[in-house]
Amino acid sequence: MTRQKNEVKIVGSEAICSSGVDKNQIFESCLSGNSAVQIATGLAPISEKNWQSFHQTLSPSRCSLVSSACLTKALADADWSEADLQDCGFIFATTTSQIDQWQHSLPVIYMKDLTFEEVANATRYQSLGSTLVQLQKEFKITGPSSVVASSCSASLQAINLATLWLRTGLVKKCIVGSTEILSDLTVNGFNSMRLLTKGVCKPFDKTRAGINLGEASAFLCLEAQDYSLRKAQALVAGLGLSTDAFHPTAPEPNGAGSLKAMRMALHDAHIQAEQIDWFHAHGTGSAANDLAESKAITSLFSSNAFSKASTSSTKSIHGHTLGACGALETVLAILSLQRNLILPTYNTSEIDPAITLDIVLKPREKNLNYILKNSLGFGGINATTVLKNSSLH
Amino acid sequence: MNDFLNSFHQINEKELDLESADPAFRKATTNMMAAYLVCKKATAHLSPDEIKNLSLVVSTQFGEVSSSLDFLTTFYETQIAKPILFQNSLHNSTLGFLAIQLGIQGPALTLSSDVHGLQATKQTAKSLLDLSENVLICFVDIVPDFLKPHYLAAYPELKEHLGWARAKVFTKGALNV
Repeated sequence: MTRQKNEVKIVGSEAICSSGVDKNQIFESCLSGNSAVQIATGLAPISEKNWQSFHQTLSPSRCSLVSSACLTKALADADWSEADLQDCGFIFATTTSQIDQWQHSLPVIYMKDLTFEEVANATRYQSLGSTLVQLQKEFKITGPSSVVASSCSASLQAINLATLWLRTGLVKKCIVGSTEILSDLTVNGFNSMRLLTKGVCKPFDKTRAGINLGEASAFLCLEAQDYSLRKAQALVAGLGLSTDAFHPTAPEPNGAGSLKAMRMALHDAHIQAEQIDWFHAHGTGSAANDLAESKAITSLFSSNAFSKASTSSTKSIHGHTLGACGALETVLAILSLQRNLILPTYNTSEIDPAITLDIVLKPREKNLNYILKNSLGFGGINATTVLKNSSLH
Repeated sequence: MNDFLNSFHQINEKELDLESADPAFRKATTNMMAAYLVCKKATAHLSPDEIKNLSLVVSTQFGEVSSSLDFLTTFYETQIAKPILFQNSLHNSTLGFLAIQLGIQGPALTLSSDVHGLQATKQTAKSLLDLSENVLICFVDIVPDFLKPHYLAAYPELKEHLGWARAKVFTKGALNV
């Protein structure tokens, strides 16, 4: 397989999150440092005003509402018609899907007041794949499909899986999407693990105290090189996947698993670490993640060139959107490639001395050829995607 | 080219002997235990190095629904959020458990693809054989008894699936999907 055939075109992309109802708004927020994280709760929900703007779909759940709105925009951005959705792959990523439709009805204390039919209806929403099935019906998408539920790496895994589907010829075009909404399970669950901060998170800072949870939806339209003459917004040039086999919720302290995923992705893209112009880090703001990921990036380099490895995280603006973060941050990375701008890490003032990378704290103009996007998740799941500037093609 | 199905093992929830399980597994869920038992047997013919580089796909319709409902019920009743229940509530927690117990460090995904579950899992496994020599597939859906009638009302096709863990190892060739 030639190098060119390995590369997959991204021809459409869109995102909605607390920082904006389209990708350009979100990008501007990330450039200007306009954080959507609510002080006192440490959460970054999509505003009620924006929720009201999403039209009714086949399901009343917030996950379906925002997914439908975001997918509509992504398809328009790709200039895909109904014909393009025939025999089109569709990979969705989520960890909670339509949980708002059952979190208050299926716990035992509430079930006793419900009829059999009401409980059965709630269980239909409990399957994580139910959102994908509804979107397939709404948009008449036919073709192979899958739902990835691999914690916070889910949507970057989904992009990598779509790339494999396109490379191996299973499909000629593929939609990748992901949506996460805030829920009682995730907010109280992360809080119980003492991982949330009530303030704004500070990735890579010496005093970082935890993560902010956010809501987001992001969709991308991918094509094989020979499917159409559409211009690519960016190319997927390399992919990496690995597992820590270390701890249920903590990363391997030296970032060994993440390092393996990044090495795989660089090898797949036929480039060296020194050619990466921006490491768009997972960078959650948790003590363990940021240190392990930084060590992993540092270990990619055989010399002290790591000190020049431009690295940042945008989570202090839109929060950690769990399974959706890989897709959301990939959409931002595509805009960065197009504008030759590195998005900075905001709210960080004193970089952890144990982190010796070039942590970017202000927007930086730079000729961007390659961006490496990382995700790390509970269960020790690591994913890396190397994005390439389409002008290099 | 044909696939090489190297091994297949399954276990029903009624065959599980949780009382005599290794104490190291005391925090494991029933899904994790069942998945571990079948995956351990299914990979018995592989060398430690082959297991380390194995790809893994865990396919589950309802994931760790017991832990999710236990977490939410406890929280709504007492306002106490229990971290172990949250940790075990994630669909991906069974995959993490398998990776740790078996030493799997290769590509690994948890899928929950609703009515497309079987086909999606096979397609994903086939794709992963592009990255590794062997792929382990584990289907697991052990759910609370009181929810089974509701799940079967919504998904009648799950009749032969609920209450079971099944594991298969395929070796590079081609997976017919």
